[in-house]
Amino acid sequence: MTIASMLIGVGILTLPRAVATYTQSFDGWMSILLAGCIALIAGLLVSKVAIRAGNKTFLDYSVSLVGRPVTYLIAALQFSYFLGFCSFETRAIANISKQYLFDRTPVEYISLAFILVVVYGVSGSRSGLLRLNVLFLPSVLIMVVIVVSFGYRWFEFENLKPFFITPPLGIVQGMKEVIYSLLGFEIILYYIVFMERPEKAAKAVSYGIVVSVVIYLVIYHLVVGVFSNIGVMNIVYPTIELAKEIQFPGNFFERFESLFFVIWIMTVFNTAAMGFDLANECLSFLFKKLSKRYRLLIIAPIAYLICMAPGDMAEFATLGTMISYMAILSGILLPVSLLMFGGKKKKEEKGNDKSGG
Amino acid sequence: MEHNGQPLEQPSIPSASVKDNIAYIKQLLGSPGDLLIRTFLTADGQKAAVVCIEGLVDKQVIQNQVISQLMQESGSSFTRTDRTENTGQMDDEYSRGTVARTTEQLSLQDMRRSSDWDEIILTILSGDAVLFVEEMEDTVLIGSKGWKSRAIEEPQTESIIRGPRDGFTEDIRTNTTLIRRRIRDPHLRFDSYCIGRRSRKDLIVAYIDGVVNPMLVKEVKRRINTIDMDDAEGSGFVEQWIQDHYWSPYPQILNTERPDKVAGALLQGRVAVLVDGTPFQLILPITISSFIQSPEDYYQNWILASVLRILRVFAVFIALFLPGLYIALLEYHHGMLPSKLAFSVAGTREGVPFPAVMETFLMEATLELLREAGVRLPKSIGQTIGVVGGLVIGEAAVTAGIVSPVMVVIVAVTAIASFAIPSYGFAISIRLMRFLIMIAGSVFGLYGIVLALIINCIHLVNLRSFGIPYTAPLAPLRLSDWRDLIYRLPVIRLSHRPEILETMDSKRLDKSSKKKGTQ
Repeated sequence: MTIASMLIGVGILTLPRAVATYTQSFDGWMSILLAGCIALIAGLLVSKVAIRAGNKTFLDYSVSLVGRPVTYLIAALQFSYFLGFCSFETRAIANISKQYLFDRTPVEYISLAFILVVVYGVSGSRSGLLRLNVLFLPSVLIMVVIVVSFGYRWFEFENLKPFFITPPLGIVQGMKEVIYSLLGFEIILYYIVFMERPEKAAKAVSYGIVVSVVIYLVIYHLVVGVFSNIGVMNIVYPTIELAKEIQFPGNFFERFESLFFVIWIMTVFNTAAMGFDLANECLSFLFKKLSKRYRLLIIAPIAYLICMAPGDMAEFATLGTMISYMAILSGILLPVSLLMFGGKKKKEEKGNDKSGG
Repeated sequence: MEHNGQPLEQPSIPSASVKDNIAYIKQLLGSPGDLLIRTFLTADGQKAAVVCIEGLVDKQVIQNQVISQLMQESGSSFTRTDRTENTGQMDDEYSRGTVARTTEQLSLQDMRRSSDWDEIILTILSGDAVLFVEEMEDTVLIGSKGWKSRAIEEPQTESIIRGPRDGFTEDIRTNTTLIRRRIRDPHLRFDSYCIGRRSRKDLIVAYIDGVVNPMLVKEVKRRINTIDMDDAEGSGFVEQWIQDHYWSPYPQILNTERPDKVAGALLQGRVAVLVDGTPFQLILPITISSFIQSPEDYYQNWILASVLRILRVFAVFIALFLPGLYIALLEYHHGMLPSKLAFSVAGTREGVPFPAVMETFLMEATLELLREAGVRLPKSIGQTIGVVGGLVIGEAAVTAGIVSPVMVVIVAVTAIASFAIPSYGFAISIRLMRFLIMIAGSVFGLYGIVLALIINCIHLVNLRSFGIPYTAPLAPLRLSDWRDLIYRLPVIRLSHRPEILETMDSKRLDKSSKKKGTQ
């Protein structure tokens, strides 16, 4: 559940556009599915690392594997990744809020409020943060169900046709985009400590990824079916636009997209808060003497600055890409290399144990 | 027993002289007007005295069972019957004098001996009588509590339609009786404590041994032992002293006037804390779902009960969000209202001089004032305030054009919704949070409301009530506890006690668990 709510961030709001840009007609589903498979494999590997770390935190585990200096590097990298991630989500929320909720309030204030709430959330207990996931995820899923079930009215099957016309390169490029928004499962490295049955981590990760992929697929096919591929390409937030199309019988609600987005804020909050929390966790490894309060005071302004750094949408997109690269590096490559390293070391240790008695 | 602050150098043991003892008591208590001292000679010619506080004791008991017996019947007349029961230890005491033996023969139910001044004084002050006999070092403490107490009445704050109508009273004995009468389990435990440095109030921790989690009882007792204050004013002080987070506006311990609620909670594996001097007894630990549950849910058909509970959840949401949403929608997102509704709202708001924020705050504040005033007034006038406040002010405000009629409707619906919440303490917290959400809504619109909601949720997930997460079983998820949460399954399906309480005996009924196995 935690994994799913980490993965379902702002990605899904823009994902259909990104996929549609590179693929033609409905072929993006292949991208999503393939990317999902890749993410699943990576997720399983990562969770293997997490399980191997056992009761130790990920960073302590890495100390025992590669020594302290390298771990400092890893921690710094992870720190900047999680921090960037949190800022990215915040900025995305602020941008969308500005577009759909208020046009006059400056982005600065919107994101400041959000960051402050995130800080409050993180300053509580860490297990509380995980409980928040459990509280918020259902409401988000309900929202998705509502959007899907009411959105079908405008669904035109013609928009999906023809199938299989995208060149493989397009699909791969689309996959890249999907993988970016599927990243985030590496948090299991840090949160496995809170699991009641850590050995089930792999199951939890794959469950989270599958849920996200299914939601992506459902939303994607619906969006393409309603707006057609060309339409989706030119809409900034296709998923929200989809919600906009919804009309309830009896005109009970107009502009459903605002409500949809508002609920969506809750899951984005979860994602951002976990990013922040993990950034804090990494920082605590780097500077052991700082108390949590000071750490938060240090991280919060940095996060805010990063989040305010991009001036326009283009720069914002660049930030997103940068963070995605970092995510691949710190989220997949690092743990996997640790896994291999750990495997090697384990064999050696076994040998040593035998010789040492 | 620690009992400091006595200026007198006190003899730790009562002396053999009745006169000295009485002098000491008089000196200690400052010979108050309500101190009753009756000295007399027993039939055996020994000097004796009964000391008690007037108004706290049952004078009949003292007169009939103590004084007259001692005066009229000499010890020897009893010797025939009691020889057989004598134990070795008693022989020593008996040898001291016939009266000592006589006291054993008093036809009293509650009687014990003591030679500890602290205990003696406390006994006198808590309404029992003390008998001193010349040349006897032990004193006899006679259980003769008997004061005027309120009769058992229907609970004022939690009335229900179907279910028992008796409520707790201020007298702790009556209250324990009410619980005993519901649970005849031999494992029902009442552990007594004495709290308050000066008030020395009785406090009872009630639980069912073998059901409750022993760690929970231990923790409750540990916290009660830390209580160190002059007076435990009602159960509120105790509640605030032992709760986990004192800075939280949400109640972490449930208080109730209903014995059936307490009995039900005990059987679920919770602990009850009964405090003398208040009809409000405490149930702990609780989770947030306890506030939407009412004992009536169990007396009714499960379908109705479930629907009512869902209704209460809606009530909580309305009470929390409605005014905030009104502000947000009117100030920031007119577009979200259906156009017809938007027009009609805008139409009624025409001529209202305030923005929606001001209007809402004004009306909500008025409502809170009315409510507070209604509580203070005597019941007969309280009704008037409802009429004056609700009808006259509301009507007049609309006619005067200060507020729009829609606003009055919103305020009224919010108020009604908050009355539908079974727990008064929780309803107050909701009232407070409502203002927070109104502020958030007026600053950031819907976005602010969601942030306020998130803040609330963060606060709630971090709360614990005696180690139990406040938001359980929603988060952490315990699906088996959902059987009796927002909906209530048929009685036969409620086969287990709440998993979250980690009870020793988790099964409630055997039959249904067997049935479940076959399904």
